[in-house]
Amino acid sequence: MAEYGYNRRQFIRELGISAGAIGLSAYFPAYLHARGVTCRLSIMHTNDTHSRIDPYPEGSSMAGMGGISARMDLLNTIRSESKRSILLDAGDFFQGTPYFNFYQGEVEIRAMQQLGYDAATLGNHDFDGGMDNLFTQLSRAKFPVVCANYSFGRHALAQRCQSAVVIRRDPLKIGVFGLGINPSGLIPPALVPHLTYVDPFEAARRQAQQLRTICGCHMVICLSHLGLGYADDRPSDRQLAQTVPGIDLIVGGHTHSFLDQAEVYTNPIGQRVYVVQAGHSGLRLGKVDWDIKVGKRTEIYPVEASLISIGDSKNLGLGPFKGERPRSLC
Amino acid sequence: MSRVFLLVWILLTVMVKPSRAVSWDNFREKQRPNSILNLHIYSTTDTTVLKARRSKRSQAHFNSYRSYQINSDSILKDRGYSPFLWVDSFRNLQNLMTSKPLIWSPKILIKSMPESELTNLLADMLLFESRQIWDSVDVALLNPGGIRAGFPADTLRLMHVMEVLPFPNRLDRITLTGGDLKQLLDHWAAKGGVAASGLRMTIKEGKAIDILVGNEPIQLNQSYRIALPDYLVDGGDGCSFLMGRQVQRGAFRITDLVAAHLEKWGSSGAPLKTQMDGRIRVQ
Repeated sequence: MAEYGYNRRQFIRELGISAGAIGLSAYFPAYLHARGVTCRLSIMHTNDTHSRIDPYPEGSSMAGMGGISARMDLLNTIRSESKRSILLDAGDFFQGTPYFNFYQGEVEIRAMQQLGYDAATLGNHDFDGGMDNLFTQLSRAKFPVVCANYSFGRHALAQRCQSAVVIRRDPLKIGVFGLGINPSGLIPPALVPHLTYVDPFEAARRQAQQLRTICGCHMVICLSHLGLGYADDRPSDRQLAQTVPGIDLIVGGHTHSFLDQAEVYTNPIGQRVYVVQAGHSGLRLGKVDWDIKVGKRTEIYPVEASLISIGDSKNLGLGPFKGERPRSLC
Repeated sequence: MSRVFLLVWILLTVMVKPSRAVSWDNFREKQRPNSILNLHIYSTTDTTVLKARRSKRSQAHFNSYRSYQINSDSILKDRGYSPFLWVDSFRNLQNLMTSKPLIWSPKILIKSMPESELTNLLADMLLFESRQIWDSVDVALLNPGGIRAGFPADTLRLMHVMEVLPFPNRLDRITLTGGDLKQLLDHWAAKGGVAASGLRMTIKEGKAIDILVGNEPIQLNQSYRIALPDYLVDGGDGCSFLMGRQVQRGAFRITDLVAAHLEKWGSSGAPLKTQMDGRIRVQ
């Protein structure tokens, strides 16, 4: 027996240890709660990808950049490095290349499903094919679609879209809710007959409170397609950060802003709110790292917020935007 | 001794089975049902299968390939495996339908503000085409946000035009007084520029000054006829002041007008000619 280097006594001892380990693991969350453990969470985000399935073609200033394959490579790298990651999209994944004109968004949604999005919200261009088409295309994917301030009445989209979702990355619970932009002047009314727009700040206040108190989320993220900020009084991410308490991070869209560093604001109860946005067309992947201490009191520390270039490496050093930024058709 | 036999037998059963080449049956089980990836793999073997997509016959057709012993990994590696192989089938069909050559473009055209060869070219073509549709058109305008890419230095095809102008907007004609036209131009001046034809202007501190329509200075009381995308006429891109004006709705999409114009132009073998004539200056 001994020549195999593994005898019965040893086996039984190891069996006992592993059984003990399994038994202990059942109490693991409680153990965490007593001691307080810091977890690293990476939040990755895109916005306004605008049907950019392939990299930019030759003949544009961003030739070779973007594209879902390069995005997948980057996501795989980040996912292999980080233990907990979430991928979010802040709307406007439709319209912008012939892919949408030909297939009404089928390619975009299938790609998003394969890229592993955890949640997405709706932008104004997502209604370009009409509400029926949006529902048809979204039913090809499984990721939750969050939008707290649109109500779809009796349309089937009401079944597909929800106000908020709680994403679990043990031991963390992350609440994500979505906000859409005012459709008047942006979406032709004929395309959205059943859509009712609700005040985004009221909806945000309610969602943040519910996610904190009822769902017990450690962190609340707002996926917003309101836009970063405007000269006039339209609701924007900057206003949202300063008026609605209970949000930790606002992942923005619509204004196609490249925020190389997160903008920091203080909300009415004195907590810090971070606003991020990753440009457009899948040229950048936003990544925000957090250290979240889970214990009797949850503590959230931002580690790093950055935009990572996607696509052709020869363009990485240049940065695609010399001079003015293309600020088009938000 | 018997123990050794037992060990060898166990090793054989455990190790030999998975190392067998993956058959179509195994391979298909690994894929999600309904995944287009399957379809694409089959299409590498026989392109005719593509045509029979989603029909019952195609299923029968697939079954006939089940006896093949093919290592799926090698196929994928040969083709330079990408998780998005299935996009190829979408892309191929799309390229097939839009590969009609239109005209030769000798150089790369990129959109930039306040004016560029690309924006001037598109606006000039729209002004020409709108004058074919309506009797009199003074100015053609196109919002720069509607131009989403540039032209390569290559034979331009329908796909390039669709890439540059992807939005399904139609060209309308709106009638504005000189004052309203100035407001419209001020709006674009504040944004940095516009694709315009039939006028010249200077941008100073976000306002349009020295406006010439045709060759005449703008008269604030005179009425002008302007060709515009219906997106702007319906108040898009901040042009809500245009809503409720006198408008003639056009039947043609801007993308189609531009493609048709380029095709006519290129049918004689002439290359694309562009110009920067300083029609929009920044002071």
